[in-house]
Amino acid sequence: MLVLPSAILLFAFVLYPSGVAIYTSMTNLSLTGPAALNPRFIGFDNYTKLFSDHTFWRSLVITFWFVLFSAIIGQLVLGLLSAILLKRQFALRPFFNAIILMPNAVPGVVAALMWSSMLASGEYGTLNKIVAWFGVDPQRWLVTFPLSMIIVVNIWRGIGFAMILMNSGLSAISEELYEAARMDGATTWQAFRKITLPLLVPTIFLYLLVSTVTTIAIFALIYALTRGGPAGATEIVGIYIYNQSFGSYQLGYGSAIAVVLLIFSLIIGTFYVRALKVEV
Amino acid sequence: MGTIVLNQVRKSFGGHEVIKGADIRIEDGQFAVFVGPSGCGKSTLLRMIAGLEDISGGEFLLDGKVMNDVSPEQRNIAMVFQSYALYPHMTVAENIGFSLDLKKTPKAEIKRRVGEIAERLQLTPYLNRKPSALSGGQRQRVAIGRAIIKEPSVILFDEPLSNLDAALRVQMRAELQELHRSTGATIIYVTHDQVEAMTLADQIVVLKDGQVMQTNDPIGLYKEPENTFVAQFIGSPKMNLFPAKVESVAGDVVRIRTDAGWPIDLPAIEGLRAGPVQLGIRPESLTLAAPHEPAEIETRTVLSERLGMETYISFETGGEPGIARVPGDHSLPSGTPIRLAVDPSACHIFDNDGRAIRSQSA
Ligand SMILES: Nc1ncnc2c1ncn2[C@@H]1O[C@H](COP(=O)(O)OP(=O)(O)O)[C@@H](O)[C@H]1O
Ligand SMILES: [Mg+2]
Repeated sequence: MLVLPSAILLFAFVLYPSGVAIYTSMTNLSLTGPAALNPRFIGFDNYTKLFSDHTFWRSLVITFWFVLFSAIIGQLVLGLLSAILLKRQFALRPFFNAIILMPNAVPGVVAALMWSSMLASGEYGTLNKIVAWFGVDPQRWLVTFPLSMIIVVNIWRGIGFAMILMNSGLSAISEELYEAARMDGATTWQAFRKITLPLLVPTIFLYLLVSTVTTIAIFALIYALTRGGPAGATEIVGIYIYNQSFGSYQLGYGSAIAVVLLIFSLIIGTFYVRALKVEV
Repeated sequence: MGTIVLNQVRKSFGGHEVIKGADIRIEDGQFAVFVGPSGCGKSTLLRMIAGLEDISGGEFLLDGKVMNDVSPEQRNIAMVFQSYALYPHMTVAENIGFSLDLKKTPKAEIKRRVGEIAERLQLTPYLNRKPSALSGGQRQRVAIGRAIIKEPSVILFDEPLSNLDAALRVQMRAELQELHRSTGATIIYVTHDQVEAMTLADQIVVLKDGQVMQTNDPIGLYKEPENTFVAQFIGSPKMNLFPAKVESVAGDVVRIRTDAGWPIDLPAIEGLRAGPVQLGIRPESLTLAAPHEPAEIETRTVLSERLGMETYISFETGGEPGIARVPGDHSLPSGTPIRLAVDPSACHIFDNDGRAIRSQSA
C-alpha cells in the first residue's frame, strides 16, 4: 500500500511514456504525409535501418567523445581539483566558489547565448579579442574546433556540480587519517593517491553515474550553439534524435534511436551502480 | 635514544595561548604520562612533539637536537591516535605496513615484518580484515602495530583507552606496559584519568590550563603534592582541604586549628608561621575512633557509601563536606555523630595560594 503513490508516479511518468516511445518506434509515424494520419506498425524495421545508418553511428561516437572529455575527464578532474584547492581558507575563497558554481545555475540556453557571443567569429567575438592580445588572428571557433568548443563549454558548466559532490566526499574523510599518514611519512601526493583517491571512489562512481547519464541527454546547450553542425560535427545522439524527429519529421525513427539510447543509458547506469555496490 | 626536553614551550591558537611555557624533561626509555583535566592542553602538547602542530615559542629537543622545524616523519616519533585513525580501505596488514610501503620497502620484507608485529600483537588471524570488521581492542592493537613497525624512539599515545570498556582497559594497560618493556622506547601517554596515570607511569606530568603543575613519579606525587591542584587531582576520593589557622608553634609541635574548631597537632615544619593555611588530609588518612580512643575530629555524618570492604563517609565541616575512607563496612545513617582520628604524619599544609609548605627534609 505504501508503494502505491510511487508506483502510480512511476507508471505515469516513466513506464507509460517509455511504452509509448517503444510502440512509436515500431511504427512509421511521421509529422507529414500519409504516415502522419495513419501510422503503420512496421515491427523492427526502424531498428534494422538504424544498424546501417552511418549518421547514427557517427553521432554515437561523437556522444562518446563528448561524454568522455567533458564529463568524465574535464568536469571530474577540474571539479576534484577545485574541491581540494577550495578546502583551504583564503581571502578570495568565496569569490572563486561563486565563479565555479554560477555556470551550474544558468539555464542551458542562456549559457549557450553567453558562449555564442564569447565564441563569435570576427574581431568582435570576446575570445577573439582576448587572443588578439597575444597576436593570434580571429578564429571561427565553432566552425574550426566545434567539438572541442562544446566540450569546453560543457566542462565550464559542470565543474560546479562535480566540485560540490567531491567536496562532500572529501569532507567525509577524517583529518586524523591525513595526520596518521603524515606520521607514517606520506608526502602530499602519496596521501592523495593512497588515502584520498581510494576513499573517494564511491563518490566518484556516484558522480559518473549522474553525469554520464545527464551528459548523454544534453540537448539545449548544444542545439542553441551549433544545432549539431557544422556538417554534423557536434551532432550528439540527443541532437540527432531531434533532427530526425522534427527536422526530417520521422517520429517513429526518432523514437527508435531514443529507445536505443535509453538502453545504453540503462546499461551504463547498471554498471556504475554495480560498481558502487549500493542498493538503489 | 629518546630523551625529550621541552624548554618554555608555548602554543597559541589565533592569539589565544593554550600552552603557557611548559618545561618538561623525559629521560630515554621512560614511560611518561601527561595527565590533567579535559581541555588543559595535553593533546596540543603531544601534537607539538609529534610535529603535527607548530611550536609557537620555546624549544623541543630530542636527544639534544632542536626539533621545532623538523617534519613529523623525520623525528622518529610514532603516534597512536585517540580514535585510532586506521585507514578504513586497507586491511590490517596494509595498515601496519603502510609506512614501509611508502618508503618502497620490498614486498617480501614488508610481509615478514608485518608478520612479526602481528604475531607479537596477536593479530595474525585478522591480517586480511578491514578495520571495520575488528573489535575496539583489536583496532587498538593495529594502531599500536602501525606505530611500532617504524621502530620509533618515542611513541605517543593520546587517550588510547578512552574508547574501550573497563575490563578491556585493564587488560590493555598490562599490554602497554609489556610493550614498553619489549620496545624500550620512550613513551608519552596522555590521559585525563589519574588511575591510568598512576598505574602506568614512571613519571607523571600534571597539567592545568596549559601549565605544568608538577612532575614526579606516581608515589612522589601522591605523597608530596606541591600544590592543592595536584593534591586533589591525584588520589580518589580527592584530598580534603580544610581552611585552618596555625595557632602555635611550640618546640617540635605545631598546633593547627581548622575553621570548624578541630585542633590538630603536627610535627614542626620549617618556615611555618602563625596565620591562615589550608590543611590537606587524604580520606584514607582518617580513621574511625572507638569511644575510648583519642580523636581530633568530632562531627556528624552526611552520607555513607558502603562498598563492602570499605566505607566512604561524608561528614559535616561547616563548609563543603569532608570525606573519610575507612576499612570495613559501617552502617552510619545521615546525622550519626562520629569521631575521626587523624594520622599527623600524613597531613599536608598549603598556603593560601595553594602552594605546599613542607620541611626540606620531609
Ligand atoms: N586547532 C585548534 N584551534 C583552536 N583552539 C584549539 C585547537 N586545538 C586545541 N585548541 C584549544 O586548546 C585547548 C587545549 O586543547 P587540547 O590540547 O585538545 O586539550 P586536552 O587534550 O587536554 O583535552 C582547548 O581550550 C582547545 O579548545
Ligand atoms: Mg585531548
